[in-house]
Amino acid sequence: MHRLFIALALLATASLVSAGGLPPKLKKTVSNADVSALVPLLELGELSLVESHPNGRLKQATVIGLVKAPPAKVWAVITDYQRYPKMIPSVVEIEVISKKGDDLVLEMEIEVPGSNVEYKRHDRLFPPHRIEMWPEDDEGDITCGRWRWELVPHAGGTQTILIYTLYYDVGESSWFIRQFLKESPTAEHGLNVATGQLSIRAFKKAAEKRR
Amino acid sequence: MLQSQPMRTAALALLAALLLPSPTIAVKQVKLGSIVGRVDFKPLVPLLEKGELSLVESYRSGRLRQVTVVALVKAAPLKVWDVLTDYENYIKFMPNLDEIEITKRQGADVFIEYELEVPGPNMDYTLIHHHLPKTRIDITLADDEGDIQTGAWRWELIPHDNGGQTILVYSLYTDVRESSWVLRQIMKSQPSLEHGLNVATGLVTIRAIKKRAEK
Repeated sequence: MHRLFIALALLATASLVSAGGLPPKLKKTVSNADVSALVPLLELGELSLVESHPNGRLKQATVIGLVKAPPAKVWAVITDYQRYPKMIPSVVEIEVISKKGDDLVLEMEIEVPGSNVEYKRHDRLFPPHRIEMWPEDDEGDITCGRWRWELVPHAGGTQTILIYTLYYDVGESSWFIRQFLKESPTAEHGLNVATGQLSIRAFKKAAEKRR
Repeated sequence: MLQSQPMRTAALALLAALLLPSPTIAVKQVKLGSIVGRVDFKPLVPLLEKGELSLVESYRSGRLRQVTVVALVKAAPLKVWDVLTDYENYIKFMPNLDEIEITKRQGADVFIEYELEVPGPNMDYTLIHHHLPKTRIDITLADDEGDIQTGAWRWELIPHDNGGQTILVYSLYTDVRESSWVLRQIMKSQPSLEHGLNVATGLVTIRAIKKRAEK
C-alpha cells in the first residue's frame, strides 16, 4: 500500500509527462442519463469511473464533480487560462500562444521535483459545454495524452455537473515509472484518477468562489 | 525540459529520502461512513458494467474524509466472501504483499500481521478484520506498533442479479502523510494528492479481489 503511495506521489508531481504519439480518442462513457443517476453520490463528493482494456491496461478515466455554480461560470473558470497558476498549484506558467477561432495553443510549465515539465497543448473549445485537448506537437515533455471537459447543466441550470475524461500513458514517462509499472500495472489507473481529481477539485473550488 | 535521466535522478533522490523513518505517532481511530443503505446502486449498474466507480468525500477544509470504491463482481457474494477471507492466499493475488500471518482468531475477529514490500525496509503492521458474515468486514489497526498509524477499511457485499453477482463496496481512509517526510512535503503544495492516492489504493485492492473471484 505504502509502496503505491510513494510511487504515485512521485508520479503525480510529474503527472503529465509522456511520449509516443496520440492515444485513441476518448469515448463518451457517461451519458446525461447516467449523470442524473449519479447526483445522490455527487452530493457527497467527486466520482471517478475507471475503464480498462481486457488485458487490464487503462482505457480511460472519467472524474465527475458537482459544482455549485452555473455552467457559464464554470466555463469562464476553465477557460481563464491566465489564472491557472493561482487555481492549480503545480502550474507555474501558462501562455496562450495562438488563437484561431475556437482553437487555442497553450504553452505550459508544470512544476515537478528536479526539472519542470514544459509542453504545448491544443484546446478546441465547443462553447459552452465541451473542450477537447491534446498535445500540440511531439517536441514537449508531454506528447501522448487526451483530455476532455464536459459541462452538464443541473438543478435548472444553477449548478453544473463537470465531467473530466482523460488518458495518458504514464508508462512512457520515465525509466523509473516503467520499472514500477512492471510490478504494479494498476498504478496507471490510480495516477490518471489522481490527476483528474486534482484538476476537477481545483476548478470546482475556483468556480464556487467566483462571484 | 524534463528528460528521463533527471526524472530518474529526482525519483531516486526522493525514494532515498522516503526511506528516512517517520516520527512515531499514536494510532488514531478512524470512523468510516457507509454509502450502503443511503444510495440506490441499481441505477449505477450500467456504469459499473464499464468499470470501477470511486467516490471521494472531503471535509469542509478540503482534507480527505474517506474514499469508497465500488465494483461489480461477476461472482456470487459467497464466492467473493470466500476470496476476501482467504487470507492465507492473499499473497498469491494481492499486489506488493510480501508476507501475511494470521496471529489470532477471537470470535468474529481475525488478527493479521502484514508485511508489504517497499523499496528499502518493508512495512509491517497488524490489522483486525471483524467479520459480519457474509456481508461486511470492518478492518482496523490492532496496535500502534506498526508502520501505519491512522487508517480504517471496510468491505461490504451487496447481492446483484438474483445473487449471481456482487456489488462490492470498499471504503477506506489512510493518512498518507504519515508514510514519510517527503510525502508530507509534497502534500503541503498538493493537498489533493491525498485523495488520489487513497483512490489508487482502493482501486488496486478491489481489482485484485474482483479478478480472483471471477476466476
